[in-house]
Order: sequence, then structure tokens, then C-alpha cells
Amino acid sequence: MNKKILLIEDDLILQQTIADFLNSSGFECICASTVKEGKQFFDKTFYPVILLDLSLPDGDGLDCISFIKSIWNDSGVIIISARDKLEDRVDGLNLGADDYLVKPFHLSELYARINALLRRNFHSQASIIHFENIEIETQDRSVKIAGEYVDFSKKEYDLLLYFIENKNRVLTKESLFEHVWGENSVFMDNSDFIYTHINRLRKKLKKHTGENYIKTVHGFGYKLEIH
Amino acid sequence: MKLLTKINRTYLRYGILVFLIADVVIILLSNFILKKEIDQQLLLEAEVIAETVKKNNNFPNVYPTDIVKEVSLSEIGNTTTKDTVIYEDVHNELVPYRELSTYKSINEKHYQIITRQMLMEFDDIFSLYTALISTVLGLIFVLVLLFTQKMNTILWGTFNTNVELLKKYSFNSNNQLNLKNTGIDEFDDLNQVITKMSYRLEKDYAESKEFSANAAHELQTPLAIIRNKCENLFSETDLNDKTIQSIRKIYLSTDRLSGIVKGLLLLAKIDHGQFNETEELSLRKLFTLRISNLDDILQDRNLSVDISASEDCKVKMDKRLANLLIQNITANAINHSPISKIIEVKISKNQFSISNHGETAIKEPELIFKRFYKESTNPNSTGIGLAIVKKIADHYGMKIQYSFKNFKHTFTFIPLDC
Repeated sequence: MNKKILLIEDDLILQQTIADFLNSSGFECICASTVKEGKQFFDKTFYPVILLDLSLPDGDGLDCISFIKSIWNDSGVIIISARDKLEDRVDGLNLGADDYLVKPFHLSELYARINALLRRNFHSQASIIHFENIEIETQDRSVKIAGEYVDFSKKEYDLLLYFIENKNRVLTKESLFEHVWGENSVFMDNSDFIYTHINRLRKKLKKHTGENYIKTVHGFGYKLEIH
Repeated sequence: MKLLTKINRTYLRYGILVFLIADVVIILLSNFILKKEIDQQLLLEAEVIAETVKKNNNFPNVYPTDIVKEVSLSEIGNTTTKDTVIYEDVHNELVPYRELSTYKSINEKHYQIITRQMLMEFDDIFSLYTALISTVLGLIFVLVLLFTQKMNTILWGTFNTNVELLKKYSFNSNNQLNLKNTGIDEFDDLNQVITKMSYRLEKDYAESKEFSANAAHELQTPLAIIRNKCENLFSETDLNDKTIQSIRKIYLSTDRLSGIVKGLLLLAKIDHGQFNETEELSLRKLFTLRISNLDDILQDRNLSVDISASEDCKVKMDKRLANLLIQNITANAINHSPISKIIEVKISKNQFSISNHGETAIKEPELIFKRFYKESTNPNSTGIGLAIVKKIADHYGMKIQYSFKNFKHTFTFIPLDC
């Protein structure tokens, strides 16, 4: 499958950070820093995912969306913007963007959103996710462990999917909280809360697989990995 | 004090002074003129009496007004006038008289002729003139009062309209200040100055708002970089404890900073009037939905939320702001509630309140709605949540009351249109 991602972002350090992250995660990230430059790329080539900043030096990223969609109907556009979702999210999504991520975002969250977008736009591919003997069927949100269906609550499923998509990567409590509960961690004191939920999931996995995949990374958060 | 009242009061104060002086002056002056007139009359009368004496060699005295006495040569003096009083039997009182005494030599005999005329009593004169003058001054005062009132409506009418316009004027509403032309140079000058000033202030205000919005936006990108770089560091394996702690603190501070900036931006946007899609909302529904979203968190802290709605409270608000308000006050209640307690939400037709348990009352209830004011030392608190609550409440003219009773903090909200 085409693993190309076009990143249109004018801040070069952030551009580099995101590109490094995506490249190391198995994507091929192509960078542009202006609307004009971006157009030159998506004019000729099809990108399954385009990450689009809104405040660009030569224009508003919002204007790009309809343009992209008119050429490549299947291209998924994720807006990455400092502008708050409260007003722009509606605009962006109305214009045909597929998702909206507000800066500053967690890279793990970006990764999860890209994967979710790819699953939505390209159903046939990667709708089943494997980790060891765990199998997640994303279309009907079911989980099989060693070939048998196991019941997971909605939150547990979200947590597990997030962990597996970001395997071998440290996930902070804040990132987990925001991803699963959609709350800004600043407005809600959450440290013990996450611990309880991770523990529950950890026990469930241990019971069915006999393995403790979710490790505590001292001081940082949690990580899903094979020993 | 109103200008008109001021004018009238000054007028009254000086009026009384003028009145007193005028009273005295007029009384003295008229007394003087009157006496002169009387003296002339008395002299005339004395001459008439002298003529009678000349003809008849005799004069029948009329007491006390006309008296002729024969005197010796040595007694003859000058003509004199004086005030005198004469005892009157009938009324048993002393009556003031003007007296003229003159000497005439007729047919080789010498006579003293005394003529007198009764005077009005001074009291009577005083009260007469005082009454006259006060009537006139009173009339003038009433007329001036009516006149100034009339002038007020004519001269100050447009001025007052403009004052009303200024009172209603606010930077936030998009209406520009349009002061009416009064046709009076002084007022029109003032209008011009105010209009110019308001333009300048509006411009400054818009620029400073734009600046804060831009600054807030621009901050998010560097914050994203710091956060993402920290995340990269998390995956390093050979870090010592001290480094881990430092990175963790940088990471958390970034989160907080980003939260604060977002909060400030939100406050600016509410000011900007970017949330003005009003619709009628059921607070019971909004609260119920919000609480159900927080189920996990509540369970984890063993908190329960008790929503009691005797009657639903309907408000006309922008849905996003209503949700933000509810989100912030519930978050505040949850964050400050001790574990295993009940948070109460009470909704009635024209108000709603939320209470959580606590040990002591808030020390400075007026300050908790201020930006960055914090009473707890919780590092996760940004000090901006309640400022947002206050801003939204103010935006819709909603009143907020705080009370502390039976170890419960209660915030009561009274919407304007309920």
C-alpha cells in the first residue's frame, strides 16, 4: 500500500519532528511549507493522507481542502492547527477535511488518527490489526485473543487499540486520557484514574494471554511491548 | 446634581439674599420719600391755617392734627419736623405721627402752628412691602423655573440622547458610535472629540485583541514542538531518574501552558462575539449528558452526582458556551470534591446550582472568578476555568452567587431571561 504522507506545515522544526516521527513509523513523509509548494506536490501525486496546517504564510490552508478533494477524491485530509476546534473544526470538516487535530497534539494521537483515517478510507486494507495472538477487527470493534472472542468495554477497546497502534512507544497518562476520554488533561486531574483503567486492561490481557504486555515506564507512562 | 437643579438652587440662594437687601432698601427709600411728601403737605396745611388766623384772628384747634398757640417773641424758633407718638384714648395705644412745628407772626401777634399727620405703623409698612416684593420675586422664580425647564428640553434634548447612546456604547457590539448633531457648537465639539476618541480606542482594542489571538495561536506551534520532543525522549532507555523527572516536568508544564493559552484565547473569543448562535437549551439535558460522559472519572473517585430538577431551566445561549460553562463548573466541583462524596446539581425554573463538599469556605469569593487566582496549590489547576465561567455568565447577564454552608461550596447561577 501507498504509505506516502504529505505534510504542509510552515514551522520547520515542527515539520521535521513530525516527519521524523512518521518516517520512523513506516510512512514516507513529504514536506511542504507553503500552500503553493503543497499544490505542486498534490497536483501530480496521490497521497492517501495529507496533513494540513491552516495558518500558512501564503494563505489559509482551508482553501486547499476543496482543491485537493477535486483532484483526489480518496485523499484524506487531517487539519493540524493551533486554531481551536470550537469554531474552525466545523468549517474544516464542512469543507471536506476528514479530521482535525489541535496543536499541541501528541504524536501518538496523530499516528492513531492517521491509521483510523486510512482504515476508514481504504476499508479493505488493515482493518484487522494483529499483535501477538491478539486480533482486533476494527470494522465491528471486536477483539479475538488466541482465536476466541473476548468482551471489551468501549473504553477498554479504545485503550487497547491505541496501545497496539503505538506499540513499543511510550504513551503518557495525559495522551491516554485525552485519546480515550477526550478531555483536556489540564482541566481534569487524572493521574490515579488512568492507573485504575490501565490496570484493569492489563489484568484482562494477562488473564487471556498469560503475558503482561503493558509495562509501566517509570516517570513517563506506559508502553506496550513484547518482552 | 443635575444642571437644572444646580441652577435652580443657586438661583434660590442668591434670590433670598437679593430679596432681603431689596426689602430693606425699598422700605428705607419709600419711608424717606413718603416723609418728605408728608412734610410738604404739613407745611401747606400750616400755611392754610396761618391764612385762616389772619382772616379770623382766631383758629379752632383740632387735636391732635391742627393746633395754633399764641407765643411770646422770645419763643419763636425755626420750622422743625419730627416723628412723634401720641397717646390715643379710643384704642388705648400710642400712635405714630409726623409733626411740623412752625412759627408765624400775624397781625403783630406770634403764633406757633403745629400740624400733624398720622403715620402708618412701621410693622404695617414692613409687612406690606415684604409681601409685595416676595410675590414679585416668587413670580420671577417660577417663570425662570419654567423657562429653564423649557430650555432644558430644547438645548439638552439631543445632548441627553447622545448621553444615552454613549451609555449603551460598547466596544464589543459591532455598532459604531453615531452621535447626533445638536446644532450647538460646544456640544458638537464635544461630540467630535468623543467620536474621535472612540475610533482610536476601538482600533486599539481590536488590535490588542488581534494581538492576543495571534500570540495565542503562534504559541501553540512551539508548544507542540516541545511536547513532541519530550515524547521522543520518553522512548530513550538510558535515562537516569533525575533526567526522567525533569523531562516529565517540562512535559507537564507544556500541557499547562497550552491549557492556559487556550483558555485565554477562549476568553478573547467570547469577547469577540464569536459565539453568538443563540438557541434554547435545556440545562437538565446538558447536565445529564455531561455527567454521563464523566461516569468513569466519577466512579474512580467514588463520587456521585445527584441531579435534581424540580422544573427544567431553559436558557437561550450558544450551545458551545453553555457546554463550556457546564464542563468547567462540573470539572471544578469534581476537582475540589473530597473522594466518596456527593456532588449536587439543583435545577429549578429560574436558577441552577452545583455544590461540592469542602472543609473551609473560600477565603476571597470575589477573586475566584479572576484570571489566574487560585486558592488551592494544586499544580494542575490553571486558574482559568472559573474565569471562563464568569465570562460566559457575564456574556449572558447571568448572576453567580457563592455560598458555603454545612461544609458545602455552592455556586448558584441565575440566568437573566428566566
